[in-house]
Amino acid sequence: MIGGFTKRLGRELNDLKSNPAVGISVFQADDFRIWLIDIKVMDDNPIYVGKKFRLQFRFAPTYPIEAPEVQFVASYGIEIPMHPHIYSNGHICLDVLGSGWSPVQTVASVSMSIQSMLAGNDRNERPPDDARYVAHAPISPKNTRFVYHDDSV
Amino acid sequence: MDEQQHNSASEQAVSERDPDLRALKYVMLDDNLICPICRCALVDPCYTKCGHTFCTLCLFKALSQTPKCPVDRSSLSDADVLPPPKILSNMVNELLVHCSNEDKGCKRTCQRSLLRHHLLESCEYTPVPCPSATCDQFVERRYIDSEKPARCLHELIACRACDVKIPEIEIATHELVCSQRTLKCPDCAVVFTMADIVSHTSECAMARVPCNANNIGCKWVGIRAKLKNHESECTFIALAPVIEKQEDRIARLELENKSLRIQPSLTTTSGMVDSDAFHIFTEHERFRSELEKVSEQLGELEIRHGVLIMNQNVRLKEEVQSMRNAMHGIRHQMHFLLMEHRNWALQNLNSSMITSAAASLSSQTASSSNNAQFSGETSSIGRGTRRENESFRQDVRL
Ligand SMILES: [Zn+2]
Ligand SMILES: [Zn+2]
Ligand SMILES: [Zn+2]
Ligand SMILES: [Zn+2]
Ligand SMILES: [Zn+2]
Ligand SMILES: [Zn+2]
Ligand SMILES: [Zn+2]
Repeated sequence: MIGGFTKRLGRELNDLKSNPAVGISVFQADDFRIWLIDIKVMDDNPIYVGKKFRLQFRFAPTYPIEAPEVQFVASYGIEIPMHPHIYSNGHICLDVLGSGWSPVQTVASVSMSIQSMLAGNDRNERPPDDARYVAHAPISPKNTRFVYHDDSV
Repeated sequence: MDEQQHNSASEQAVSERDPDLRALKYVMLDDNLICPICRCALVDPCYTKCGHTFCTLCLFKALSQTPKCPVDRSSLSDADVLPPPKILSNMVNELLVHCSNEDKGCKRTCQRSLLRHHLLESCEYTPVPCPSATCDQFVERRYIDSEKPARCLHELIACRACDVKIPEIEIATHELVCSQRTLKCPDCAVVFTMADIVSHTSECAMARVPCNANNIGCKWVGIRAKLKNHESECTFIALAPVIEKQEDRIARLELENKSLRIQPSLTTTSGMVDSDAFHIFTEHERFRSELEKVSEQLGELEIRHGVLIMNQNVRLKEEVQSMRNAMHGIRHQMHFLLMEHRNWALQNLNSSMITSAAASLSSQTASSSNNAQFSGETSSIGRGTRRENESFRQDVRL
């Protein structure tokens, strides 16, 4: 039974590569521990137009029963997107990544949720508690007990 | 000790032969038979009260984390997990799969539920214990010849080319790739080792090669030694740069064309969202038309209600009027009766005074005739009253 999660991830990787969603591409997936997924916001939202962002997925052997650890990472020429639910250290406040997780979610479906969360945003700002959160945040966003902001944004 | 080792090794081999159903290659797989958790064909499926299907093991693992249906998030306890309909378990058991030894060379496909039997009993590529009683290694079943006496197939044999010692069952595969094996070039007849032959074939002067411009139409084929000579006078070669440039342009235009064709489909990013939006839109339309109907009915009802009240009002008014008339009549009668009563009382007083006077006068006849006249008058009064009463009753009934 050990290794079941790699089989599922293998399938997901095949799907991601053979049947990619618009604006979502695999940047790096060399093993079954960490994947980097690049996303672009497809409509012409002025906050994100022409930009590319990079999501980091970290998997444990409990995947998909437990949620993966997901956050944005910055890199050369790639920044953390501005959003009232995304902290400047890349942590994302989204219930799908915590209490709202279900094992039928996939890397692709999570990426698409985040993509649409960006597409629907019109506020070029960080969460109000950004400075305080980033100063004390745990390394893994999964160790944060987010109080999910309202979903109107 | 030796025997014990042999036993445990063979046990391990048997458990390895138990196929991992999630790693199999399926000949064809319906999306409906895929578990949404492990994304493989359902293994030992179960069914939930909310109508979803999972592998039993996958679902219980998910429920131990969150007691909710992984698909629709409705609350779900272990008791809400039901055995699957018989037809479903039959469908997954009868799925056609490729033998898990396909990579070793087995071409068999069979129903999934029969695969274990195939691997254990008949697959030519399943490792089985070496026939020799003293050897604890395994050989694929195809190497065992039941006609011949049992012997170990792992004895080392020297390769005829490189002299390295190789187990007997592997020697055939080794010889095909042994770097020291010699081979004669089919074109120039020179003998080379396996290690050198690859580089030689790409430069053998006697090998027959086509002109480099054969992709754009030159039909020339000849030995490599004469190729240079041909290319110096080949018109196709001279044209090649021009044609190449053209083809480059065509490819670029095609690419652009394709991306232009894709763009309209971007607006409908996901079919699901589209159909959802459409669904919501039609619901909205339905509600609006229903609302219109209801408000129309409400207006009609209001009018009907108003007419009803007016009718009733008119009738009540008429009734009140007739009551008033009746009361009027009663008042008249009362007045009349009161007057009559007073008259009567006065007359009574008068007559009593007269009788007392007459008594003193002692006129018997006068008094009796007076009495008769009086009684006639009273009876006429009673008749009048009754008539008035009747007319009043008729009024009221009106
Ligand atoms: Zn499953
Ligand atoms: Zn369900
Ligand atoms: Zn087989
Ligand atoms: Zn042997
Ligand atoms: Zn050799
Ligand atoms: Zn040659
Ligand atoms: Zn030519």
